[in-house]
Amino acid sequence: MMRSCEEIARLLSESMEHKLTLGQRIEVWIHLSMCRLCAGFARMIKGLRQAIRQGADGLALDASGQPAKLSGDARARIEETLRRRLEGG
Amino acid sequence: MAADDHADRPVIDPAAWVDRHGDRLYRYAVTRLRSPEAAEEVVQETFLAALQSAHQYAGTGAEGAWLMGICKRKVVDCVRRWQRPDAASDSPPPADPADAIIDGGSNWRNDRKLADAQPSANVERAEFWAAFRRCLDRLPKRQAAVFMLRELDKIESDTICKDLNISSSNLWVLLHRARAGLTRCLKGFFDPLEMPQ
Repeated sequence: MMRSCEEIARLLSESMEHKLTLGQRIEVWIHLSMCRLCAGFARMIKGLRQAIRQGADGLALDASGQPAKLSGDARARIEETLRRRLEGG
Repeated sequence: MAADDHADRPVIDPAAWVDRHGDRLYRYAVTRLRSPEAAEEVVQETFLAALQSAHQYAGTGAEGAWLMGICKRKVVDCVRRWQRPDAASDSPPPADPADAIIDGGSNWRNDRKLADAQPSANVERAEFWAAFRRCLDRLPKRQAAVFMLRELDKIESDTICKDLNISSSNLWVLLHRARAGLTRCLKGFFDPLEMPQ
């Protein structure tokens, strides 16, 4: 029985975590040869992994596109907590 | 590490930690946890844990690297805490709308945007990452964090399962949902394969 696109997509995602069985790989291969949607999904999830692993800088930005930093409040709070802990021994 | 007898023990300087290392640790944590509050908490926990184990600091590496090592563990601890409240959802349900790689049921076969993922040579790098961060923030927070630990930090599936105390099939479901959600959210925006470096 043919698998649905949802099932194939799940297998595609799993294939990035562990090796699929031979049967599963054949099913995926046949499906991809006929289904542009799943082929697109396969390309995108691999591309996502590649992009993320090459572009960590772009992920460390805040909403305004600046490098994320501790807010003044958080900084003061953490410093105060540390100071008290240091004094308290 | 009974190094107390070493006269030349490395000096650590907790009073300067926030200034010297605060932003870097925060950036690491917030990139993965997506929540400023959770990331601030992790930074504080990191410093407090470091104070407690300061005597163990062997000084073999830089102070910053030592703190970062503690911070990484605290990030994982934070993600592990997140799964407590919704632990029931940990058993993978057979189907979920979130598993669909395309929104809606009837017309997804006609969705050209995903099938024809556009080359993105003309898409600005900054624009892509801004969209990516927005899409990531729309995912359930645990899903997003697990996805980042796996994809960004390249932590092996087995290690994540052990650290978070979840089964492999639960991990696969989480990762698949994150991928399906992200590709749905980013579809037509670009083809990440063609992303400018």
